[in-house]
Amino acid sequence: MADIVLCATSPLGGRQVTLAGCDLREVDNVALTSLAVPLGNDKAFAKTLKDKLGLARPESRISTTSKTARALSLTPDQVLVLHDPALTIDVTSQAYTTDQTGNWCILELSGPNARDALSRICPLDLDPSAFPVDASARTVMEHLGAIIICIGKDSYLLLSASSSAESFWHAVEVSLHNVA
Amino acid sequence: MWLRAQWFKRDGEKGWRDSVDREVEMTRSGVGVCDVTTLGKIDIQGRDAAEFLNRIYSNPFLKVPVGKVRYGLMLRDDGVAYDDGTTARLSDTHFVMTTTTANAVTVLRNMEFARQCLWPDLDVHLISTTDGWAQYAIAGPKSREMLQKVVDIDISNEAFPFMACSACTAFGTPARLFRISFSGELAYELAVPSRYGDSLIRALMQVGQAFNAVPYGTEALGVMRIEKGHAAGNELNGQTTAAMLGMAGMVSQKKDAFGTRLSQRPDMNRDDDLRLVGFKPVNRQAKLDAGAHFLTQGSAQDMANDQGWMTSVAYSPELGHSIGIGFLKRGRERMGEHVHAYDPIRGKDTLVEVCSAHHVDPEGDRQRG
Repeated sequence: MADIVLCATSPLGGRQVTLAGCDLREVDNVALTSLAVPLGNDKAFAKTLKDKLGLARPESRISTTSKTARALSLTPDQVLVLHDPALTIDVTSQAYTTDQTGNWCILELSGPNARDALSRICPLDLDPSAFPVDASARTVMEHLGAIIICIGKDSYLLLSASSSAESFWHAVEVSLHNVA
Repeated sequence: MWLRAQWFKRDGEKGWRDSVDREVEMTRSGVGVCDVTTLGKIDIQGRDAAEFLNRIYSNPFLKVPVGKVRYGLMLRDDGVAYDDGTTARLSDTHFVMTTTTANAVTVLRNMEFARQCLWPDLDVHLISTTDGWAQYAIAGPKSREMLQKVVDIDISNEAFPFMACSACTAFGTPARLFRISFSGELAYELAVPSRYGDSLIRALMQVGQAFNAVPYGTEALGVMRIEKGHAAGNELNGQTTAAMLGMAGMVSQKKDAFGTRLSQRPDMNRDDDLRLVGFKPVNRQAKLDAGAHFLTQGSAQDMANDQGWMTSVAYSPELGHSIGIGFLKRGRERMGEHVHAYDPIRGKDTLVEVCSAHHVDPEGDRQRG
């Protein structure tokens, strides 16, 4: 027992590719923690989020950021935090926490054709006027549940279930081929 | 898409049955390891989490002690059974539910509706963790001895009895351990964050070498649950009531949970209704088939005389013959009776003996040992 140590592997093994002038890569160095706000505890939760993690409580569709974390509002009483794995999410006195790291595969897509490629598989309007930097939303792509976040000009984070990560990667990759 | 092995072929095995029989025999006599990651997992937290579960499951959930797992049955709002699974209490305000693989999304959706729309006054929060944990069943009489080399907690029967659960480490990695059993054997389920899943199964098989541990697939899993008489998708097909499943006692009449009221309708509680029982061929060489319908001896082969149907069958390596479970009218009162398992699609008519659905270890001594 003592000489066996378990090794972590990400859903796609850190895969990356350059296609259609875009970089597509799996992000495997980000942890995810869900924070659920106890009924009637919104004020104290928002204060804790600010004090402990430096994050404003996100509104629907717009994420908030600190140097080491990003917070998304997915449902009225739940906040999903993407963060440096080294960051301790010590908010248990004001929120119920659930580790979500392994639930999701995270892809980063960047490049001038990124929005064109995503427009073919994502039903949301991704024009910067409708989906500016820091915008976030839950959606579906090729029938797979997904979360999309705009992290910069022509740059997006895409989250989908880790168990279907290969299919999700395939969907994005094919779409990149189609705009090449 | 979930991909799981149905069986693991070894050199010299000619057909799938050779592999499945061996996996069952080696698990029941030693130890076997099976990937059960696909089962739905839902994290449930909140001050009212126990109250919420008590309204979702038909059986009581208010007083599940911390560190214990309880089997639960869920009814639809029309009172028909639709899912089952185990839910573990990790703290006063924290439970982890497992659902069947097929219903993982439906159960979460229904519970989310209940939480947001029916009982918004409850402090309860749900999130899927199905993909977040890799989980393995370690089953068989040697499972404790093997697992004690993996985890850092005392798992003796006294310290960690049947239906216990605990946080622990597996090879030093934070993990969760549940003493639950689908196979009917002394068994555990060990979960680690899914990024460690691949590494864990390799490590388990390495430690398991000293115990002649065998990986088993979904076919062996199915054989063992049919031997044990555990209901699965074939029995929870959306037409069956708790009474039909032999679980009428799991619908508490002291509370109003989802589906309780409509499950009390007289036609859903008839004494002459279908009941889940077991079957074995009178000629032990005969092979049983799921889908066959039961006919009383001497009755005409038509729907007017239909007495129920065979839901699941398997070859039992332990008993040395084909076995089945299924729904038979007044089944519990007909132990020992011979009925026809009539299957016009396959052109078969097999005489079967009615028996308990618990073909193997009916008292459950193995899983509690």
